[in-house]
Amino acid sequence: MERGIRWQMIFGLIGIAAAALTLILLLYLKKGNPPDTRANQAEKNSLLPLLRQRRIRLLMLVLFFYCGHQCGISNCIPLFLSTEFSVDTVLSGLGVSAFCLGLIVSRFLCSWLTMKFHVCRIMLTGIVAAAALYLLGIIATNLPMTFVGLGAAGLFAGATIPLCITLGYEEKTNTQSATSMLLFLSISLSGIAQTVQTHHERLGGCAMGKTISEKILARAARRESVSAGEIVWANIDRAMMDDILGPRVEIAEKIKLLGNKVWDPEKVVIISDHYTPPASIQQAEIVKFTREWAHEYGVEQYFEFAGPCHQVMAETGNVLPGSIVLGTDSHTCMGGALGAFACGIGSTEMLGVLVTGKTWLRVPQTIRVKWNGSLPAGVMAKDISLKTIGTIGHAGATYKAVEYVGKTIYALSMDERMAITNMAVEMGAKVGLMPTDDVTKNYLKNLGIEEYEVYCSDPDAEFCEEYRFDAGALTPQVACPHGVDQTTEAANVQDTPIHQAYLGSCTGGRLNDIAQAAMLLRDKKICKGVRMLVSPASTAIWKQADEAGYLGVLVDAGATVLAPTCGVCVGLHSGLIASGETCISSSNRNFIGRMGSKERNIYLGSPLTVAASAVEGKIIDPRNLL
Amino acid sequence: MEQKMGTALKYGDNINTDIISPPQYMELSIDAAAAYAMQAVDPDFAKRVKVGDFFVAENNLGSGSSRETSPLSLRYLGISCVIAKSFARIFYRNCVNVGIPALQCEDTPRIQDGNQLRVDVLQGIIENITRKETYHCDALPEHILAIIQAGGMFEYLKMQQKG
Repeated sequence: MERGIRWQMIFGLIGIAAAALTLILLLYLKKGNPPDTRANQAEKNSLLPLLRQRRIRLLMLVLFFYCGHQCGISNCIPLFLSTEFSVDTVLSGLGVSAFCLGLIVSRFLCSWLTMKFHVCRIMLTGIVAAAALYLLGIIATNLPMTFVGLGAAGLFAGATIPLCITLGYEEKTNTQSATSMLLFLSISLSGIAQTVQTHHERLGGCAMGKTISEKILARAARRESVSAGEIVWANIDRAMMDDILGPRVEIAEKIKLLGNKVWDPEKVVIISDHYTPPASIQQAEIVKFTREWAHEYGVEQYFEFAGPCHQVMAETGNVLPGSIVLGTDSHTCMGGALGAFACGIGSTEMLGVLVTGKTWLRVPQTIRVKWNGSLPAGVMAKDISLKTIGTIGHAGATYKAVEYVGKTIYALSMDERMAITNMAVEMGAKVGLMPTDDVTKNYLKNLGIEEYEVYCSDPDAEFCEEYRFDAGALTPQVACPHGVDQTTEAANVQDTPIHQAYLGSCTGGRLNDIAQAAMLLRDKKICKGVRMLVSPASTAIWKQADEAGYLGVLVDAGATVLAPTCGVCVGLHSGLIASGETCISSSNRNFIGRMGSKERNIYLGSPLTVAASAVEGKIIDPRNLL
Repeated sequence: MEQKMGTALKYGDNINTDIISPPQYMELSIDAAAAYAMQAVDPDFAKRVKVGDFFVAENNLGSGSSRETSPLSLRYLGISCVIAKSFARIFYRNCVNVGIPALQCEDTPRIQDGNQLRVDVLQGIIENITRKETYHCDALPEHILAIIQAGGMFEYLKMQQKG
């Protein structure tokens, strides 16, 4: 905010000065004689005599100020409104700056050109070319084209303004002088208006005052616009089922009585992740049932043993910005890191989606969570996640959307962003959303996806609450038993002895998490009596972590590397905890009854906190070991 | 939908889905898994619940997982209605979808374990016979009432397909 206001003040003052100077100059020009360019034919092809004229130098000076003013307005308005530096804002600012640079150059050149060509012809060409190039600049999708287009448009548009003045006083009638002044002012005003409009388009804000959720749900409900509180029937873009709560619960039996087919098998994804690898015959039967059901109903996107569903969904390009993704797992909200309206639903509700392709959703109000500042060494995205949940509370965002913004968030990789949106449900939120930016676009580009719709919250959208955090002051956090919002600084529970350290899950098992843990554990040994289990969040991550040598480092330190699975986090297989034991985990929940015995304690922390605690055999602030 | 009579089984804040349906029993069928419902906070729950009873809790009931096995276990054990001061959203939707009316009521803290209640779901009125008090619940939106009146999402979908 401070920066926005400061910029606006500076450029506002330049603008006032430019306007005053323009007025003085125009009055001065009206008093004097027209520039005697035509009389000196010998000098007509030279710029120097023109530059020697004081009025021309003054005109250039004023126009330079004016352009500065216009540049400023174009940069500061979005900054003032959004109070954030986003890549889009800066890029569009650059585009308009190119436009203004073009203006400065052309206003100088055109004075010279009037000596060679007829004024009216130059003006006409200038206006037409400017309009065409301006349009091209706006619709161009790549940056260089936009920059060149807008710059050239400025060049031609700039030519027309001084020409109007020239035209005005060359005819030596007051009426035409006045006309030229009016033209000058109206062109300036339209320039400012265009600038503002361009910014709004670049910021994704055609309809004013809407949040991402409202925009996505309006599209999904095929409505012009919707507002928080309304109930809409939304068309679903992806329906995801897992093994534990998928076809086997209610769905398989009841779909037979409701037409016995899936509305669009291409939009359905089934992932066996909870009971893989199966630890009992019963679990094996469930996986088998899920696999066969997928085949029977023509669902080609069936994955198993590949890792937790949310990670697999993202990696297989099933989560796109602006889409609606529903899944039979509460952490489906992770997809919000990719700009999708993604949330968890129950099995019977999934049955409805499978049959009709739709479900009812209440358009949520949005809580805006703003993180600014850079994360100190040893502090991770998971700490941002825990701190936010600890502040808002276990049920603080129930029924609502949480939108994460701010420079800290924009600076995070996709791996880190997912660790934050994944846990939005831990404060009751329906969805956890992040704006789509270059990080999102590059992530999708690597998957070969370039076509999707991007929605951003308008600067004047309505947020029901706003929280601000300073990442620079953040310390490693842990959530104490038995609530995710029971957060405190890791240092405050230092010396709590642990028996198991778990690095994995859809929250804390991505490549960056494993890389960070490996960095800390290099040449160190896990404390005797503590077991450290590592489950990469997907087979792709497993392979990358192996190729980068991270898994080797972890194994050398004494960790056990498991298959990608949900099993440990929920407490289904692969590493349950006995009564009286304590686990520190990079996963997302520490409720009673999870991860094994109900007489045990789970602390949640960042991958670094988990790794450091494994070395010490007790919870510790990882910065002590870095 | 007629009035429901039964006994209140009362719990506190943050009764989450890991408590209602412990994950390690989820591979079992609902009838087998229901025996372990609420095990961590009330090991006798499955034994003491009678058909028609009300499950009453305070804030944030059903937080956590999207597992429908939670309301399905409650339904299997005979719970006829769930009442809470506030609900976690997926659990709330799941209850309605599997045909258990879910009522949000500010006065929930006044209900004690063992109180006899008479509940009018459509009117949103809870009569506490033991304490001789009446509580009013938040009004249900029309589309939720429609699903509850049908008896759940499945019945609702079936009706729509016929209609």
